Amino acid sequence: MKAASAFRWTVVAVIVTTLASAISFRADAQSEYMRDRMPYDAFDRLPKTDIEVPGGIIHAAFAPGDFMLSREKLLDWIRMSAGP
Amino acid sequence: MTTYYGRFPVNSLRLLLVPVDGGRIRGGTTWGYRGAAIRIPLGRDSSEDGLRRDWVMVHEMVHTALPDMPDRYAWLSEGLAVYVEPVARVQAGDLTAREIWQAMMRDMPKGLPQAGDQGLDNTGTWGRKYWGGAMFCLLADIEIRKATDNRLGLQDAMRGVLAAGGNHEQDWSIERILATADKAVGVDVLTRLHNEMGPKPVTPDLAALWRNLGLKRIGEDIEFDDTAPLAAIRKAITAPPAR
Repeated sequence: MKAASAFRWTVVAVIVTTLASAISFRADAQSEYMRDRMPYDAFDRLPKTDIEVPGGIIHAAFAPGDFMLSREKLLDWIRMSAGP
Repeated sequence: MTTYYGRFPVNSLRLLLVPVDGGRIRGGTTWGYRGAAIRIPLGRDSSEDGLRRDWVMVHEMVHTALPDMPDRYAWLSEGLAVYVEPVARVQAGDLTAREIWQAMMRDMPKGLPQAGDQGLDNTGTWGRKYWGGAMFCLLADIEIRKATDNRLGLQDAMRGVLAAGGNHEQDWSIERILATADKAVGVDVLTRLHNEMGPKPVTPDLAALWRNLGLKRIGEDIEFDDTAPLAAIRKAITAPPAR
């Protein structure tokens, strides 16, 4: 009984620690991309999608994390804002 | 953007979307010191409709079309972005002229000088920086069009800056930017207007300006008067460019 209880608490502790680490990792990832200046080096390490527009190319990248909308929808928004 | 400027302002743009809490865009920032770059903190729960109505992305892209300047002239950079973004979106068919003139009539008074104002160059308040700058751009657009029989406007002047190599990856003085823009349209409107509005407070008669443009406020709505003296200029500002 005691052993089972200790095991249960160990599992709970592992889950809590994992969740805390995940949240902390996400916060760290965000802070790396949300500093005062453009995080050029961090940006350059991200996978990019190139969007050709008249007279230039937009290199679009996503910082770690999810959006409700698909990446294709977000890229469409960038294309629409840049113009035909 | 490309409709207004005729081309994208920079050859290469880094654009970073950062997921943040919520369902809206939390501002945006543009840099040029290591190559043109825009960062947009975008709410994870943002909707397609929200993005369609968004103004931030175009606003930040407009910044890439102007050389970097000392902070005291941020009113030109922000004012241009506030003024050009809606005009560009009407030209592209994303907004109506009625919507943007209505918004200008509502918001432009926020850019008027308040007590203690020392001109656009020396007053760093939010209202003067964003809407004072936008007012400068509107007045410049109208004056250029008056001086060129409505053939050319601010759009042609700013295309001239871009054609001369002036984008956000360059550091230029405000004098050089305005002189280059003036040269593109063959008049000295921008330099002259800056000499007037930069060092001291200037309060344009907005009520008379709206009347001359043929804009009448009817409750929350507006009505166009195409017989007004500057109605043709009002129409030309939002007309898609021929080239």
